[in-house]
Amino acid sequence: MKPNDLVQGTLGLLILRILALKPMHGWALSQRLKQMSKDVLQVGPGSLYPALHKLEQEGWITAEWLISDTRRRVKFYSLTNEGRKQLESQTADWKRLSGAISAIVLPAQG
Amino acid sequence: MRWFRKVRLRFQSLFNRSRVETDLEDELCDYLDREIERAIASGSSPEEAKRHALSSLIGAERIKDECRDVRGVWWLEDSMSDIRFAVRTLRKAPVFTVTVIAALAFCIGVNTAIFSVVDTVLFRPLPFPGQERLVAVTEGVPGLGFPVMPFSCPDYLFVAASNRSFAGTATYHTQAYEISGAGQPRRVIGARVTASLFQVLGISPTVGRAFTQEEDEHSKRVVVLTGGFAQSAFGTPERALGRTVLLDRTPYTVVGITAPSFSFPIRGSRFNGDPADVFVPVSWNNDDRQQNVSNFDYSMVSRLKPNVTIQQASMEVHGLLQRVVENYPSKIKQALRQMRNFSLESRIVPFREEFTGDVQRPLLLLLAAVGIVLLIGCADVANLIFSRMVGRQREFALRTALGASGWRLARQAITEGLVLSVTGGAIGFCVAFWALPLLIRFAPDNLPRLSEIGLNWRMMAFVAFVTLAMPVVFCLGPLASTLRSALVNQLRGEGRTTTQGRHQRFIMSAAVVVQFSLAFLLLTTTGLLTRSLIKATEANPGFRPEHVISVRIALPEAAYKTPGDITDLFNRLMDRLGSLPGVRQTGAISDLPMRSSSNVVISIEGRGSDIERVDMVFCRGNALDSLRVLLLRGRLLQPEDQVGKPHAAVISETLAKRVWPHDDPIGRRIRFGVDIPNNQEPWLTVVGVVADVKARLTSNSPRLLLFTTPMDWVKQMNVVVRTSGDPLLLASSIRHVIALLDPSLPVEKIETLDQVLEESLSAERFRTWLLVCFAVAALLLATLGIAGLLAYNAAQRTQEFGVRIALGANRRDLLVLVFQHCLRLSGTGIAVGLAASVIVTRAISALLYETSPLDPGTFIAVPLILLLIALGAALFPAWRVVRTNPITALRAE
Repeated sequence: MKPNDLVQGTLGLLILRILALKPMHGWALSQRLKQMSKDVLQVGPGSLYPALHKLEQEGWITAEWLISDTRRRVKFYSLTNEGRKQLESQTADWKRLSGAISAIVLPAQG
Repeated sequence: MRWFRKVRLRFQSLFNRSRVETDLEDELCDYLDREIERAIASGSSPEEAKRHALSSLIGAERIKDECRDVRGVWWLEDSMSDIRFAVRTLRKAPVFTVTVIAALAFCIGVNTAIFSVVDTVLFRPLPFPGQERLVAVTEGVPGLGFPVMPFSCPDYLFVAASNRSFAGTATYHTQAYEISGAGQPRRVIGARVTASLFQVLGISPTVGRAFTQEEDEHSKRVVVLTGGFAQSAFGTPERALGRTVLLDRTPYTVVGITAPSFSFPIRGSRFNGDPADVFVPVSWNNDDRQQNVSNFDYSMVSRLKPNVTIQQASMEVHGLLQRVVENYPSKIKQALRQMRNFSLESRIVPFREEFTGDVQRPLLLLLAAVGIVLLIGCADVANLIFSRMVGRQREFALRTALGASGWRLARQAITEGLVLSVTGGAIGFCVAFWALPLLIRFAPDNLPRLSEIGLNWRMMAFVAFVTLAMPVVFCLGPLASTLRSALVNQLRGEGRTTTQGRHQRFIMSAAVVVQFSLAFLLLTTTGLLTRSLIKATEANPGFRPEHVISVRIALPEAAYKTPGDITDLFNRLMDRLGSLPGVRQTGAISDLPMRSSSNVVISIEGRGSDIERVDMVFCRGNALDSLRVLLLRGRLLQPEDQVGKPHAAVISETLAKRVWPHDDPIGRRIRFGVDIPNNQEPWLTVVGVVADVKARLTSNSPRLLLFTTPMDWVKQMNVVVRTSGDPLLLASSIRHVIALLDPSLPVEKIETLDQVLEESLSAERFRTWLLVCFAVAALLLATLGIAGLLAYNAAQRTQEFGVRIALGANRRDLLVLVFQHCLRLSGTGIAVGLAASVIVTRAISALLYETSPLDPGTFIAVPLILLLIALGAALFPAWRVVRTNPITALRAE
């Protein structure tokens, strides 16, 4: 699935979710996303970084510059308390929404 | 904490841009490197890995842009660069920039200063809580010629007790007191007030307390001091509390001190209009409460109940006043029944109108004048910006072609305007700050609430509004029309030369025409008021002020109990002064000319209940002779006309003609009050007629004056001394003589009659001088406007002139062209201004003394001045035309 197909805002939820596991940098995040979605969701830098910066501006995630073992400056993102609350409420929203959509799109399963 | 982090991030994005940019760069590089490593790890060749990774980063710049966008500061960044750009362009044109900023700073400065004065005096809420419900209540007997008066005690008490409209009523009456026990003995203004006054005003003393109703009723000797007075007399308010001060030599205990800012009554009020230093209970006696129905001394201030309108209250008080007469003592009631025309009326106005009446019109005139200066200044700035924009047409066309939207260019233009106007506004604010104290110092004494003037948010809002509104006016207009013609020229391929279109030329000319008409208007107004002031200065006041010095003596009741005591002191004082070297005559007069005097009703023997209103002035010694009042018939009052002898009176010419148009007034008799059986006032015999003495230099209607010997109760008089030399040299001798006679008698103010005359015109002088300043400023700005336009036009037409000269045109014809243009502009402006002036000056006719609103002198001089200025402004472009060298002119393009 192309990143553009991701519903606007869903990417934010995914980032928050992944960052809830542990702080990480942008590239690791995209790899993690790919891996967790079993290669379905591939997000390129063009979507990833603007989304990260937006979340940072919102105050839901915070960034820290660390020196990696390869002695490179790496920007690590982590979830803030604010972001944690946001994640909970967005997850609840998502459950409601996806349940509703599933009920309509996949009636046979019900 | 969240907002804090956000603000920090935004700040970082804004002010640490290079850091943010590097970070973004690093972050993306890091991603790229890791992608490459991953690809190599999964078996790709390094080159392939690199190519693949780079392709995923296609449009790295776009990514960066998006990242920047979500940071949400682009508009601020744009504005910052706009401002930087504006400052840079403006610095390249220093003459233009300095001219515009100076014009703006001056206009904003004077406007702010005048605005804050006018706002404080006329518009700002009074410093009393819930002030919008405060009203001034007056009564009056219109039938007898007194439509508006303060209340009499019985009437006030009746209204205060019976009304349902007011949440509270209070009354006050100011008088001078001699105060001792608080520093040097001196004279202060005291207010006799009801205990309710402080409640009605909604303020309470900051130290101590206000006095109570009981203290008022039982005539307790208690006093409330103003904070300012307590400070000057005792150092701190706390130290004043509990002290005993002597008011007219009677001991009073200080029970309270108000806030230092408290000032009441408000200066310039119609009645009792001097701010008091001390407040004492009014403590009416039984005579006051019942008998003194004609002492209309007490100003009434009331607080309306919520939901009661002024009309409703007026109706109610009017009704009450019809009933009040029933409560009068029977003798008075009977007497009133015999009088035709006697009917008590009432008027209620918002409390503010108590003091704004006289000053409103002149202040609004000043505000209009500075408004005109501001408009002329704005037109100047607009034209300057206009001409600059025409020069920048190529730049705008180029930027439009490169894809700049009209909105973006407009924003740039407004930013440039804002940089100019904010700088001008900031300097203007400083100018206002510097000008305000100066303005207050020279302001006439009767201007209310001057002490309240100062920095406040209304003033700031005014500056902010003017500063922010101006760029929109003077930038957008020029820009819109410049953009249009720039594009048109571009399309026509005429971008090489930059000339203005017909539309622009029209706007710029219109601005100059408007400037000239506004300047015309301001100049005529100023001219008329100046002529009126000169006429007033030259007017004959009816007496000779030179060589006369005056000192006000007020004898305290406790020390001067009998009329004999009073007469004795004044006689001894006048004798001693009379024997000083250089003194010609001495006398004492209850009210100096040009000062207010008591207005009373008199009746004439044999005329029944006909009455006349006159100004009553009491004289002792050779008062009228000392003032050199011109005697027309009979004799003046003399030292021999003393209290107790058959009463003599001298009347003014107009009064004589009015009462006895065909007969000789000498020997006729008049008396105070209405001629009814129980009038116990003695008859006065007219012994002389004098020429009219003016009440104000600027009044055309002569007042009806009655001079007579003092009543028993007259304790305050001005002792006047006519000297042969400089009267001020006598001041110290006068103090010395007074100290010899009564060492504890304070000497208030020693002034010459010349000073009194001068002071009576201070309000007129003040506003006229201000107007002259504004008119000169308007003239300068208008000159700048027309000179700028003509010079600009000449510069624009250099090429055309060059061609004309090359083709053999006579230079004189070119000069005619320039001057024709100049005359067309100024002539139109003058014509429009003339028409406007004829209409507008009528509105100020009430402020003019013996000057027609269409005064020919002014209406000839003003156009001449403007014409001369316009011609002067044309000289520079004319000189340029004469010097035009056709070859350089043609090459220049």
